[in-house]
Amino acid sequence: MNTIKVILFTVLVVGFYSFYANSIPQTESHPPKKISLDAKLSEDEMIEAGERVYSTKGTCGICHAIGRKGSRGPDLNGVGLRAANRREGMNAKIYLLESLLDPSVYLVEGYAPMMPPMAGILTPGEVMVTVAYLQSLGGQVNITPEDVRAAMQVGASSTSPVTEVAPAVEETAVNTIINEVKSGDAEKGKTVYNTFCIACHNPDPALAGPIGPEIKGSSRELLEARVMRGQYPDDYTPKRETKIMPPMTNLVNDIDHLTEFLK
Amino acid sequence: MQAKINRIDNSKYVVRSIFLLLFLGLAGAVWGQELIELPEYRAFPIIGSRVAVWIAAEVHLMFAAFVLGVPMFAVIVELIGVLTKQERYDKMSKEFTKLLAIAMSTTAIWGGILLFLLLTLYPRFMNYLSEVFLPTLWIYPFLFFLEAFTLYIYYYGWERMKSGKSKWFHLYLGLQLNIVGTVLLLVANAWATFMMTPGGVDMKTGALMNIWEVIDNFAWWPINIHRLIANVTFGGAIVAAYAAFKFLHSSTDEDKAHYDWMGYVGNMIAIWSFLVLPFAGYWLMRELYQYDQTMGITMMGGFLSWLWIIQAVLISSLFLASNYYLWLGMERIDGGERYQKYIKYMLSVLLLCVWVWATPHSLVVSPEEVAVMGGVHHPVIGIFGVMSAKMTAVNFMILTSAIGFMFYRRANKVATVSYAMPLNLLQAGIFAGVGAYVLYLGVDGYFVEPSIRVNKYSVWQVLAVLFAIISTTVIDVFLFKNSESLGKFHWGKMPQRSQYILIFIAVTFTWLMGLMGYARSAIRQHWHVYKVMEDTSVDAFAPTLGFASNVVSVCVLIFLGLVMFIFWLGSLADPKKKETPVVAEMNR
Repeated sequence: MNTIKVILFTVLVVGFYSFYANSIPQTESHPPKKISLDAKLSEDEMIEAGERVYSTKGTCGICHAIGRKGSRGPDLNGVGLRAANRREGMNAKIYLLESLLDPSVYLVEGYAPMMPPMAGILTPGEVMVTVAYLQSLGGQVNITPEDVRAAMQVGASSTSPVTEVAPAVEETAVNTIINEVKSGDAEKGKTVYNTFCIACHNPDPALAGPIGPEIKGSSRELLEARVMRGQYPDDYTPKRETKIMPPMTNLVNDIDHLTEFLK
Repeated sequence: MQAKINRIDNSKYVVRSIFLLLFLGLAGAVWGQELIELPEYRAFPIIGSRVAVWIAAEVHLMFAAFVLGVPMFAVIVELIGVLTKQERYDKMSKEFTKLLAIAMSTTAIWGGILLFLLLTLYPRFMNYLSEVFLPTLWIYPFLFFLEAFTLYIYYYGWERMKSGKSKWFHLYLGLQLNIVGTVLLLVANAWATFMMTPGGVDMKTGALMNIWEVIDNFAWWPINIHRLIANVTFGGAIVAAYAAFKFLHSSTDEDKAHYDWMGYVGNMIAIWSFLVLPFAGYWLMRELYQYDQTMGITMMGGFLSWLWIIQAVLISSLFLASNYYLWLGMERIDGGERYQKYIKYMLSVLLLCVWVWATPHSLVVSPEEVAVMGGVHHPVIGIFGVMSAKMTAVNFMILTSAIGFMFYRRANKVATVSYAMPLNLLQAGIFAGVGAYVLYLGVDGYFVEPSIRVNKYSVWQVLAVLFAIISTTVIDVFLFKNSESLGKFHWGKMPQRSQYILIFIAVTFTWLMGLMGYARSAIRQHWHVYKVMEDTSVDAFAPTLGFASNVVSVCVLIFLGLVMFIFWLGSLADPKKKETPVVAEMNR
C-alpha cells in the first residue's frame, strides 16, 4: 500500500510541475529565416527586409520595443528622427551604423552597455537594411539600394557572413566616424575599463586583480594585441602564465581610450 | 606431366583470378561505399529523433549523476565510521554502495541506448564529433572498465576488507572510485560543452586545430564544477528518498531508526551541497556571457527567460520542504519544543522570499494593460522582477535555513559555559548585521550600474551570508562545550509525512536537473555545435517550455521508476536475519 502511495505522490508532484510549466507563456524559438536580399531592392522592400531582420535574426525585440520602453534597451519609436541629432556632427545613417556595429561607444542615458555588436550576428547587407528600417521609424530613409548592394558585395567576397566581413563593413561605413576620434579619451577609457575589465583586473589598474595582473602603463601595442587577438607582442613577457582572457573584439574602437586611461 | 603442369598452372590462374576478383570486389565495395553519402538525419518513429535522444540522454545523465555522486559521500561516511568506530556509518555506506552496484549497469545500458540512437539518427553530426574527439573516445571505455571493476571490488570486497590494514585499502578503493568517476565526468563534459562553446576548431570549416583547446573550451570548467557539486546533491537526495521509502516499509523500531537517520544524513548532504550550487551556476552563466553575449541574452532575456521562473518555483519548493523537514525533525528531539515558536517567523520570511523570487520581470499582458501600466512591468511588484531583489531573496532564504539548522543543532542542548549570553548575543548580532547588509546591498543595487551589481554586490552578499553561516557554526562549538543534554534524538519517531517530504525533495531535484539540462541544450538554439555546425533537421527549433517540461516529466518518471525497481532489487539481497542492533548507538 505504501508503495502505491509513494508512486501516486511522485506522479502528483511531477504532474504539478508539468502543469505549472504549461501555464506560463509558451513560445517556440525558430531559427532565423534566411533573408535573401535582392540586389535590386526598392526602398519599401529594403525597409520591409530590415523589419524582418529586426524581428527574427537580429532578435532586437528581446531588449528593445517600439512605442514603449523595452526591458533592457531604449524605445525605438522615433529613433530615425532622433538619430540625426543624437551626436554632434554625425548624421542618422552613421549614428545608427555605429549603434549596431559598436553599440558601447555611445549609450543612451540610463542604459547599460549590454548590446552585442551586430557584426558578429548579421551580414553586412542585413546591417544596412536594418538601418534603413530604423530610419523609417520617424525619420527619413537615406540608405540607398547602392549602400545595400555595396555591403552585400563585401559579404559576397567571403563565405562567412559574420565576423570576417565585419571589419570590411566597418571600413566602408563606420570608420568614417571612428576616424573622427583623433586620440584616446581617458574618461571614456575609464568607463570601458570599469565596464569590461574589472571583473578580472583590479579597479585600480596599478594593482593586481583577483585574476588579471596590474596593467597600468600598458602600451597601445600590448593592449591592441591582447584585447583584439588574445595575444602578446613578440618581444613581450607575460606577467602571468594564465590564458584566461578572451579576445574582446567589441572594444576595437576603445583601444586608444584605454591606452589614454592606463597611461 | 605436362598436363599436370598445365592443370597446376590453370589452378594457379584460377586462384589468381579469384584473388583478383576478390580484390576488385573489395575495391568496388570500398569505392561504392565512398559513393554512398552519409544521410544527415534519420527519423525515429512516432516521438521523433530529438525526443528519443533527449529522453535517452537525460535518463542516462540522471543515472550517471547518481553513480558519480553517491560514491563521494559513501567514502566520507565510511571514513567517519572508521575514525569514530561506529558501526552504523559503515552499514550506511555499504547500503549506499549496494545501490550503486545495481545502478552502474543501468547507467551503462542507457549510455548504450543513447549512443546507438545518436549514431543512427544523427550520423553526420556523430561523424563530426568522433573526428574531433577521437582520442577521448578511445580513453573513455577504458576508464569505464576501471570505474566498474573498482566499484565491484569495493562492494564485493566489503566484508573481506572490513578491519585492520585492509580497511584502509578498502578506503583507498573508494577514493580511486571517485577519482576515476570524476575523470569520466570531465571527458563527457568536454563533449557536451564543446557543443555549446566550441574552441580549438576552425569556426568556418569546423576542422580540428587543437585537441586540448577542444576539450578545455570556455564552459568546460564551469560545467565540471557545477556538475560535480550537483552530483553530490542529487546522490544525497536519492539516498534520502531511498531511506524514506524503506522507512515507510519498515515494521520494526530498529529499522525505522536506521532509515530515519539515513534519510536525515542524505538530506543534509543534499541541502548543504545544494546551497553552493547557485554560486557555481552564477559562474557558469557569467562565462557564457563572456563567450557570446547573444547566448547570454537569449538565455536570460530571450525565449528562455520564463524558464528561470520555473526554476525559482522549484528551488523555492526545495527550501520550503527542507526547512519543513528540519522543523518536523525537531519534534523527535527532547528540548526541540523550545524553538517551535520561531517557526512561524521563519516561514513568513521564506514565503516572502518565494514571492519575490517568483515574480517575473516582464508580464504577459494585453496592449490595453500595457497602456495602463506604462510598460510590461507591474507598477508595484515589478520592482521584484529584477536581479537585485532576487539575489536578496535567495540570500535571505539561505540565512533563514541556516538559522533553522542552528536551532536543530542545539535542540537538546543547554549551554553551561559562563560566557553563553555574550556568545548568543554575538550570534544574533551576526545574523542581524548580515541580514541588514544583504538588504542594504539589495536596495542600493537598484541605483548602481549593472557591472557593479553583478560583479560586486552579488558577490559581497554571498560572502556575507557564508561568513554568517561559518562564524555562527564556529561559535556554536565554543558555546556548547560541556553542554547539558535535555534528552535524546529519538530516531525513528518521525511522522510519515516527513518521509514524503524527503521523496518530494528527491523528485524536485530530479525535475530541476532535467529542466537545467534542457536549458543547457536549448541555448545552442539551431546549432548542433554553436556557430560551427548548424542543425538543419526538422527539429531545428526550441520547443515551448510546456513541451519541454512534459519531456522532462517523462524522463523523471522513467528514472524514478527504474530507481524504485533498483530499490526492490536491492531489497532482495537483504539478509532475512536482523543485523546487530544499532539503535542504542544511534540514540547516543
